[in-house]
Amino acid sequence: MAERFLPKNKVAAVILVAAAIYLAMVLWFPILQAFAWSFTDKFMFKMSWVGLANYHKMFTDDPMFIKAVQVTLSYMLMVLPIAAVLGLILAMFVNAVKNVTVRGFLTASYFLAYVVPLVAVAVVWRYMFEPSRIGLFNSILDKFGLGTVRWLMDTQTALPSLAIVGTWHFTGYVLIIYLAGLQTIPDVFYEAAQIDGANRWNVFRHITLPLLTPTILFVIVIGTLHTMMMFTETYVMTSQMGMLPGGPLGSTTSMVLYIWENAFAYQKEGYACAISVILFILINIITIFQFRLIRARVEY
Amino acid sequence: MAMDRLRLRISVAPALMRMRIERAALYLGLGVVALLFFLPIYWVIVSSVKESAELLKIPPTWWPHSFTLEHHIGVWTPKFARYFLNTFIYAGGVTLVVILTSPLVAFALVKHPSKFGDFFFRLIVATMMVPFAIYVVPLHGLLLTFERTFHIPMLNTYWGMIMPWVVYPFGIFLMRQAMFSVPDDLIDAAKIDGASTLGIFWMIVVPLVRGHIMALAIFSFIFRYNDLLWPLVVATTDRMYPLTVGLMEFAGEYFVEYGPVTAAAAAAIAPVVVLYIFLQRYIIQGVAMTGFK
Repeated sequence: MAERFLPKNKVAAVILVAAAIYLAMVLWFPILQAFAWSFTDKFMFKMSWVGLANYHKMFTDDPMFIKAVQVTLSYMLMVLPIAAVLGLILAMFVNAVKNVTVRGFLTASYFLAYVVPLVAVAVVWRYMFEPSRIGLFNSILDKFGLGTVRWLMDTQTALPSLAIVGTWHFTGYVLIIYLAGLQTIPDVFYEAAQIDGANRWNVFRHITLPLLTPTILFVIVIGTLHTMMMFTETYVMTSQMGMLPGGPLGSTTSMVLYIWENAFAYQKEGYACAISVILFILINIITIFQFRLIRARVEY
Repeated sequence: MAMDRLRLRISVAPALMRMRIERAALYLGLGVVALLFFLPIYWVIVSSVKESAELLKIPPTWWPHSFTLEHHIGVWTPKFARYFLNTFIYAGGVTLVVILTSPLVAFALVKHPSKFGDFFFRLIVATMMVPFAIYVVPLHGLLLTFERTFHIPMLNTYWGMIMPWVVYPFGIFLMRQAMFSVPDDLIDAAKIDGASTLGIFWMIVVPLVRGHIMALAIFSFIFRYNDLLWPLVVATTDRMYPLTVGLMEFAGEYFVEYGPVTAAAAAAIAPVVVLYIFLQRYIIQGVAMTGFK
């Protein structure tokens, strides 16, 4: 434990204090401000105290807000379980590939989906999701006589369509995290299991899964954060000329998009901050819950 | 003796055979999924070289029957080049700043421990996971305040865009791990030789943590390159749009003209793909590093 309040070395002290002041300005103070502004009707430089009015309106008089919460949570529930499970399965199979070149190619094609700018690929996803049969997906469905789907144009299928894109985007990241986790499991465990004649399911159930639990927890927590912050997908894929994104009929308006709309399109910054606060609280509750649930199982 | 060997071979053969079949199935399965994952990127590329008429064909063609570079050439208007330049200034600028500040702060934290430093780092960890969208509105307010009180333009400027990332918690966190691998003996030896603090940092510490700096550089570049929300807030005129925001305009301008749009998307994707191909090792290691420790 350090004794001194500030480092004796003057250069180090200056660096630390300067960095702290800067971070206070661009990170800590704005976070506190978001809370403070949520009790005001702030816009630009006009601001007056309104107490809990924003929160009251949100829950009693704003169906769009309730809708946005639903959209955000459903999106998370659509993307996260699939990405977490698919990523694990793929990672275990990729981990079984011993040939370095083959492995490199495989990881590259999965992981590229994550590093490539989502905005750019979203453009082509939109093309593949075309409601007519010039869209790739509809042409395939049509070929098998399954009719066509209106994908992004239908309130029922718009969010699931975005979830497909989101899953595609996020699974590659999850896979790399799992791969790194798998490589920390020492081979001796597997060798011991082999000598004891354990079958594959038992090896997975009693060695891989327990030793990978911290990694899985990490993936779930990061995945929750990532999916609940959904913005780019809907902003890029649902914007129509002259209309705000998030359609059709608000069926893809996530909370972050709704924050953005309120702050920068409807000029209601105070209200936008109140939504931020609710989103923040929601994420925290879910994350604490996940920690409790999974920590309880790590204890052996 | 020979008999024994033969018997052995016979008993091993089916197991070997099974292993080979399993391996073939493994490669095939993973290959098919990998192709599915690659499909959207493939679709960007093939669509961008098809002639406009073929892009509207029912059903769409898997392999282009026509080939044209007209979309690729047509996309490079001065406006589009400007988007590209803006992105490189934003992502490149942030990266240059971040790889300078993060190791410096981490160095001060680890090699000059203090109560203030401990507290500072704990606060960084506590707030590192607060999503950007939570405080984007006050951050925008901060830019406005700067403009009003100091009369410095902030909106529609590069420094306004770069400002939130100058001291980067994620970078400090990553570099802090690396600093523990720098032996104190080396630093002490340099100190005895009369090297200054910054001299030690520059001559001894930086070369030893080069790998981590590289990983940080790649990540910070890719993250900012792909950024949409913050540039959307700061850049309100198309002169300042980075690629991500500019592409949106594009998609609006040519609503169903998928040729130009996919060519623009291909141009936006290309730098990242090239970066990935050359720096794959660092990227994979970087994810593993930041994901865990």
